[in-house]
Amino acid sequence: MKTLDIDSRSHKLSNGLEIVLHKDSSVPIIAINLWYKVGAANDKPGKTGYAHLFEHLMFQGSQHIAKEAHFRYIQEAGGTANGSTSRDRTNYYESLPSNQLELALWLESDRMGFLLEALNEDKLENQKSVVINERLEHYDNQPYGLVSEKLNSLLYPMGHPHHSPVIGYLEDIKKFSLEDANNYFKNYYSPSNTILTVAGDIDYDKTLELIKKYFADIKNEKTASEDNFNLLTQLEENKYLEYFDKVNVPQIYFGWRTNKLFHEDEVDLHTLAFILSGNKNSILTKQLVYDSQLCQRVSAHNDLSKYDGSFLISATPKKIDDIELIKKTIFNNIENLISSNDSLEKEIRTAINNFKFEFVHSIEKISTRADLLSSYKYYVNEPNWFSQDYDRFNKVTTESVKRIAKKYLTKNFVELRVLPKNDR
Amino acid sequence: MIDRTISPIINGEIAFQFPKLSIASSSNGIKIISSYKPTAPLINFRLTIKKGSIYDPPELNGTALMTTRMIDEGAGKFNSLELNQEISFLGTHLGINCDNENIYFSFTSLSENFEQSLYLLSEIIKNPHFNLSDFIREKETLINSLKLVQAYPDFIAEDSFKKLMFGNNNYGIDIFGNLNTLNNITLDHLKKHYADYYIPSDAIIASVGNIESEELLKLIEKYLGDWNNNSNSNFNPILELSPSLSGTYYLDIPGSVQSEIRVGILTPQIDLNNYPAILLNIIFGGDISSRLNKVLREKEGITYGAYSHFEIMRNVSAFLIGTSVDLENSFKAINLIKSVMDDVRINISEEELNYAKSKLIKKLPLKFESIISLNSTINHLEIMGLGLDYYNNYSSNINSVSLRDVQELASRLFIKENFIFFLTGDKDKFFDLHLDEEIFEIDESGRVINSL
Repeated sequence: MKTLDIDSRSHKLSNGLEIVLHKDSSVPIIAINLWYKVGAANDKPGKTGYAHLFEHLMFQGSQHIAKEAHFRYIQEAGGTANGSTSRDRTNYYESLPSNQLELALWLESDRMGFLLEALNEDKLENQKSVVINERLEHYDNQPYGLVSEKLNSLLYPMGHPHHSPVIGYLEDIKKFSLEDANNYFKNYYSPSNTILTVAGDIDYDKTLELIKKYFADIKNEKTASEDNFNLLTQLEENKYLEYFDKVNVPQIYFGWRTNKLFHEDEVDLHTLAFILSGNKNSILTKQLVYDSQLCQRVSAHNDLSKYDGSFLISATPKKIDDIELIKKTIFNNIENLISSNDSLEKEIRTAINNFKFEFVHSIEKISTRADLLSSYKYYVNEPNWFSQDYDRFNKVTTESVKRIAKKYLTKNFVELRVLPKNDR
Repeated sequence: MIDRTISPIINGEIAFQFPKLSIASSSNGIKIISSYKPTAPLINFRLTIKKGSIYDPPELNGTALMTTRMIDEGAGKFNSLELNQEISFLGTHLGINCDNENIYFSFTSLSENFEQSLYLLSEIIKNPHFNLSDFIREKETLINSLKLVQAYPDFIAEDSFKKLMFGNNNYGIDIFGNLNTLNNITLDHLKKHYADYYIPSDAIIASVGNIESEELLKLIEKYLGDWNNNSNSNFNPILELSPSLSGTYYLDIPGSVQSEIRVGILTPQIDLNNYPAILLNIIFGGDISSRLNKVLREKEGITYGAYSHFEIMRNVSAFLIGTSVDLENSFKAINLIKSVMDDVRINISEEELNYAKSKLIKKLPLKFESIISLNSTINHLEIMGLGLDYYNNYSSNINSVSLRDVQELASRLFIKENFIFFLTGDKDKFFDLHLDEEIFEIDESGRVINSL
């Protein structure tokens, strides 16, 4: 698709920093996007949450930037900034009016090159406390807030990069020391472990010169060697857990181990999820929400990273007593999908139309385009991979979806039930 | 080597110009505002009806919301599932919802699918089925949805706080209503609500994207020109606000591990043309660099974030503060919020004001980058009656505000004795219960049941 042909240029500095530039002058805006190739997958048992906590420390000032000043500089210049941590990477980004490019490069280069000079015990303790509150607010004090944590601990063994939550366990966050922070920075925050993307209303040559001006003299440290993960491929048995939470309505979850991002099965897995629950006519939604009306809603989705993945189905029963029947209906429908001779062509076409819309929509904003350029550079080493990514979906067929459903959803699975405390 | 001790000198200014708008009317009186933006093959379309949940009769609160849930369950020649298949096949993302003041229909589609998407939306608006079997299902689903969200601490806090803030007024009732009022609603109530309020003369359309205004108008006329409902409703919602409460209140939620804190005051004199108020909010708690966040997060580390904003609707206005803290710091947080109020009341610096002005003015190009954000703004300007030239004069209006203007407003606003301070959490774990004033326990209906 022509719309998805996003021109870009790639460079590499002598210190190893990988650069992606993309020019679009339709609006006077630029986006800066850094992907440090370290994420929660690199957290060790007993030291969970370090990647995420470190993301917070990166906003605490560096040698030439005062504490709290990063956001203030960016916002005063009319921009926005933030960071995010996933299993695979830690991402920092700014969007700004295009005349403020140098400001963003100054700020980002200072924390890449000179963070430790300004890091101290007070800043660390302050951010540990902030992150503990983040965990309380978003997970511990939320209904169903611990579902993902519990599901992943059942799906993946200790030592697997998906086993522990990105935000980390409370007791691990409390243990993070200044020495840990120093080591973490040296191990993972070097130019050669980073992709820098600049997109928007830029001049290619001038932007590259400015990047060299701010980043070329940053010393490279040797990045820690690749972790030796426990990537056992399948569950050896079904696992079941129920727990009682401060909720009024039960929820049930099923999870299967699948495969990693950009694996050849990925597009079939996404299409399968859409066919099961992507709209009111999808198999499970129609069956459970419209026909039998046993459920409030049902949802299927994939949780994938560069290391591994899972396929998840969740449902909200209208009555607790119906849970077994709902489970049976879900598994019967999966079995029917695999064994029937029915064509899925219409469902696949609908899914692909939805994916096409999402592709086009996702590249409208310069900031999301910059993030996708970083993402493709990281995962497939080719930033302009938008068209190829979309074209993968055109290869999906009835047979391939059924084959993938059989390959993964007939294997051992995890079942989790969250039940209202009052019903105990 | 470069000198990293000073920030780069920025040359030049980005001249901001609000996009050109076309204004028209359909033959049945719908005002249409559009902007042609062909940067992507996408169109964002919004149709807003200025009749939200404040028009729900008290015993039927939730009617407006339930009507939005029912209206796309079959329309024209399509039953519920057929209609959804038609929309989904296009990849179009259609949203239907409401708030206190408005009912919203919106979709974003690929340009090539715009006409078909508009046709389907027009069928939903003009010819909804309102079948009994769909109603029974959707009503049960909505009741269960309310039960589900009633477990969320922020929902509980917002719901109870609204009752304290707005009292006996439909702004004090969540758009869900409650379990009793939802149970009262019948299919006939929804049909009446539709007949009374889904009328073109109360609707506006805003559209941004890859379609020129003439073509847009032609398509609207084709598909919505024959939408001719006439209202016969004589229901007048209660808009007068009770005298504002003040003091400290809490709602006990046994077993919670955090406190949700809400602080607020009604501000009937504040609207979106009050530029000192907009600037004051940035300084007080409007962003991560504000005083509030600096104290509660960056200095004390007792929260993930603390923020404030002016909630400005057509009929009410309030200044609101919100944060979540661990239980043992609940009252410490309230005392810190009070101390920030005291400080800001007497001491705002020129530097803070310049920061706030710079942020608001320089952010304009970014604010209107996407078709959704631009269209949302256009829609908001129109439904709030701000005038479509609002952003043409925005920078000069912001720049004309003096430090004295902002300081005077702060000294009038931040009289902490006038505010409501409200928290939810497990009262047995409020370890730092050290307030030298009376505090009141309320139940979920907002009624005071105890005092400490």
